[in-house]
Amino acid sequence: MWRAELISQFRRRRVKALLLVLAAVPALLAVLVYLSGGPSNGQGPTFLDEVTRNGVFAALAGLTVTVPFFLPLTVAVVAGDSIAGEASLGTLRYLLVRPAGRSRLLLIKAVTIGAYCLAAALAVAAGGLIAGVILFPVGRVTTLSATTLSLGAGIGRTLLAALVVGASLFGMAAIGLFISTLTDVPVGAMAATVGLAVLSAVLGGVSQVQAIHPWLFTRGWFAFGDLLRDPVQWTAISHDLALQVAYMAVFGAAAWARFTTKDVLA
Amino acid sequence: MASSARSRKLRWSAPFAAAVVIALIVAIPGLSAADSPSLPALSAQQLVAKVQQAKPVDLSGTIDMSTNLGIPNLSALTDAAGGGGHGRAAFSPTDLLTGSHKAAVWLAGPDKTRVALLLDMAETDVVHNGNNVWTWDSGTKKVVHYTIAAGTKAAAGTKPAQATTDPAEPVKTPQQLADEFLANLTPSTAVSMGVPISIAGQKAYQLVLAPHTAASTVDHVVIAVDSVTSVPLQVQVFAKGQKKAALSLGFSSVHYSTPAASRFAFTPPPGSTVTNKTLGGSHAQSADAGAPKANAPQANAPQDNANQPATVGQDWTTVAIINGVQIPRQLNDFLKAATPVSGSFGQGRLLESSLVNVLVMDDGRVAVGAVSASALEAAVAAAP
Repeated sequence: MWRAELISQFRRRRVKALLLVLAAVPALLAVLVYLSGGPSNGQGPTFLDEVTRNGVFAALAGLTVTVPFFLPLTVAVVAGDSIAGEASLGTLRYLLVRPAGRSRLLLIKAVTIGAYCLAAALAVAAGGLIAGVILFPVGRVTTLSATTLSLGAGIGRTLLAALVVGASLFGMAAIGLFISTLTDVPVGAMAATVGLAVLSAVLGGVSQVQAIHPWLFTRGWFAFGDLLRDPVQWTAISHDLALQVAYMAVFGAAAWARFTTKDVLA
Repeated sequence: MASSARSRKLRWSAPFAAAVVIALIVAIPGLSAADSPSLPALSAQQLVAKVQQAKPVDLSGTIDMSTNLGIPNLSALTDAAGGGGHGRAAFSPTDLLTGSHKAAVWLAGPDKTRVALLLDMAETDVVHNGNNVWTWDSGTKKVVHYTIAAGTKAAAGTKPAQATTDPAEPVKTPQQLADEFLANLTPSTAVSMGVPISIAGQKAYQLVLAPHTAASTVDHVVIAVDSVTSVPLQVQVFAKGQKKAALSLGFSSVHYSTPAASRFAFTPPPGSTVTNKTLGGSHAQSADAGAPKANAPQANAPQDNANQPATVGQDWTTVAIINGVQIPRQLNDFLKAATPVSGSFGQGRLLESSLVNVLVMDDGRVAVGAVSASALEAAVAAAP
């Protein structure tokens, strides 16, 4: 059942399309930079000015561009759809007929969403890497600390950054899963999840509510930049990952409480 | 059905239980850290002597800085002032006037220092190694290479980061800040011992310095000193009438071991633009001119002599007066919102914060000091 759900989820046309579009974003960025010659130092999104010198940066620029909105949006679509989608199609009943039980079904859904988060971020990195390698020279990767990494280490850091970005979306995914158990209208669950992410990001920019800033799940979305320092600064990344675990615990438990007690009519 | 209804309700306690467990995990280390560590009693004199005798220690660590001057965030303003889209630097010194920042530091011996200001997706580094000082801004990819002339080597060696210019100027290790304050210890200051504190896992003594004069905006300064290595671990400046520290600079982690030599090697990365400058030589005097005055702006940055600040008053009431300041056009609206003042010095605008007051006069002079507004005006009026 685990494998079946994972495979069926990633075979879905919608999920495939989302991953493809995510991979296309950095590729498109790379093509635009290739055609225009690219921004000069210090302009445009972070890392974009490096792309003409080193194609690897197309992946990092892609992550920087998609992290604030596009990547979370697709996670909200997948997470919001997870339970509410089955309910609205009337397939939830049939899933629950199986002896697996509701708790197990919810866990499988949660793991699938988590896998999607990682796959989505890796798709962005992969799209950027492929386009960057085709269009631009590649070589040693300059860190934010002015040191250089070998190409292999640089690509390794880039993929690690993608995994960190994927994992930093887990908290939002848990919220989306919880909201998805509350309703039979998948679009509503998706919109509510995106709305909460926007609210969290807005609160993160308001200095009057500084006290809650460390607790916002959008707070650490750019922490992956610390992987591009030399030495890597782990404090912000580990704080962010711990926060995501906290969100998963609270909203995962809430989703479980709701889903195992709700009346499945459709 | 009754028992099933109860179990349904019980399940809803799971998310709340998870939240409580997380709150406890977060709160418990904080509670134990709040406990004052037990240390043998030490008088203020003993502590200052201990610090002055302490050998320099090699270390690496991270520093948290926070500024709470009661002024709005100025970054939008400086963006406007620096406008024109000529590439944005990762860091502008005015950023440090508000909010909190993180830096990483590495120290090895008297002539090797690296300070990295860790910004969001960006970094500013200052690397001092022997006769070379490099500054790096990851936003503009600009490298400035300063070569220290032979004559100024000793001065630069004792205060490495001071030999640098504006990108690095506000970034100091607690060691450097505390040295400045301790050098300023005169009868003007009441010195006492605070309660020992635990910082970055190290037990530390706290030295409290309070100015006698009422004209100072500083209520007291607290310096936490490592009980073993005598390294100043935290410096906090409290303004009068403010509960939260106006300035706080302290280690969030510290390791007492010699950092790798490669940490102090700097090679301009590909794509960077390098500017070469020489420190010292003809500017030999400027390298140590402003060092001991904690409240005066650093006078050691290489700049035109016309803008060299003159200082009035002493110790806590030092006021710096800079002549012939060109106010950028973009700041005019900002200045208009400031309090207009006039006196025997002429007319001007007063910019107030909890710690530092600035008087911008219509004749182009600017006075800066950690003194009350009236004391600032008096100092300007008395200035030649």
